Amino acid sequence: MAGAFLDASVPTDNFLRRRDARAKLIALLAVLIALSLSRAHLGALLLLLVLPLVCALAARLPVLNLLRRAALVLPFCAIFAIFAWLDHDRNGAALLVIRACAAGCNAVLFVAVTPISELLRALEQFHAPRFLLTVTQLLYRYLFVLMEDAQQARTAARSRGGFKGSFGFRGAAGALAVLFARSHMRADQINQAMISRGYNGGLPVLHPHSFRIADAILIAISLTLSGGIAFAVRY
Amino acid sequence: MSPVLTVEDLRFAYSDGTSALNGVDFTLYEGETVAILGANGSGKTTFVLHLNGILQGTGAIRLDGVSLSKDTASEFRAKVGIVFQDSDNQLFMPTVLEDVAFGLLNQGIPPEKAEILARAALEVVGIQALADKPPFHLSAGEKKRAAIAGILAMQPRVLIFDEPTTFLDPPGRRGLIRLLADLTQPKLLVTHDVEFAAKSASRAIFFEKGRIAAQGDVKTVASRFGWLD
Repeated sequence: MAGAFLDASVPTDNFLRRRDARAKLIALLAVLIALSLSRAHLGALLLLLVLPLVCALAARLPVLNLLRRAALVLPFCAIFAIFAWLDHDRNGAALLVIRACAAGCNAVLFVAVTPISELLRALEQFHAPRFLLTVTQLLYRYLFVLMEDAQQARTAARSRGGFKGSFGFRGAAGALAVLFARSHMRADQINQAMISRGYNGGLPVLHPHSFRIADAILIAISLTLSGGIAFAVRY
Repeated sequence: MSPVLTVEDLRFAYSDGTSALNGVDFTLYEGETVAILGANGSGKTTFVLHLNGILQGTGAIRLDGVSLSKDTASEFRAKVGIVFQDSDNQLFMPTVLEDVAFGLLNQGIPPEKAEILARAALEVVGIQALADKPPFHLSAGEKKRAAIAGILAMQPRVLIFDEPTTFLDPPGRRGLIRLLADLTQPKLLVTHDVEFAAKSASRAIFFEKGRIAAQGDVKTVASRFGWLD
């Protein structure tokens, strides 16, 4: 199986995993807004970088793994940081990298403690379009199946010499067309399988979370923290 | 034996005009397992897709005396369970347990009860330990079992398996034969695998050009069409 799956790292039980996805989503948004407001304030940025790591430790999550995944944002922000560095704005370059890492850590922590089904359910409760959410869930499930199909087609092509010479473009285009046709056929079969088990337009949730006091506390803490940072940075 | 599922003069043509079923008459009796044999494109899968209303042709389909119509289609979908050829197409929820509970929740069964029934179905197929795994982490045999559990959880009256041995290695295939023997519902097995059919089914029907060309003992039917050495 090619590809890495975020759900694989979701622990079955810890204090963050037990929180309602809506509360976690609001907390994440609050932290990201605080990050964008904290511009050149190093203390605020470091606090928002350290906070998710502390939470991950407390939730018994693999912190190094979390950092590794958060570092995926580095190549994107590094380009702008290099320009800032070349422009003799070393402080600005460092702040940019820290801010990107902090945003990445918070986002990865959120994903690590929120299964996709709960995230989509939370988005549905926030009135995100149901059709979009269903497509997202199915895309998440089948993206890797399609990747495997593509990989198999590529292997088959390579075993016969690959897409070389004047045939290269036509061969690759043909393989892509086959992949599209296969995806269409698969979509048809998935639809049949869903209808045969009573699909009526929505993907049901087995464990709907109920909003608890701890969820309200999480929202209150994140809003207070974000508001405090925004206030401190401004004045 | 009393008839469970009866099909009379079933006909169907695809939108491009291709005639797929040309008057199929068939009866499935209580407690029996019937293998559906036939070449690719002979109408086997099209036939079984009619049995729970996914495709709608002309003719009559009755389950325990109740006719399939628009009004009874949802009842048929609950009672006629189809396990599809490629389990990946049937396992679309994030975890095995959620997928097995999918049909139950769609029937309006409360989540607590749906979970109990789903876990019981996983136990029947022997993969209760995989309940919280995402389907993409399973082997082909485990995926097949999870797909079967998703159908069993709905407590269907009739079970249909479309090419159940595809993608399975010999141990997986043997496990499937044992599992099928333990399931008490009347079953239809769409297959090209004559050896599997002979071990699992009490009789066979052979599809040719959208019709049942022959029926009887599995090996007799298979050898008549040159499917046995």
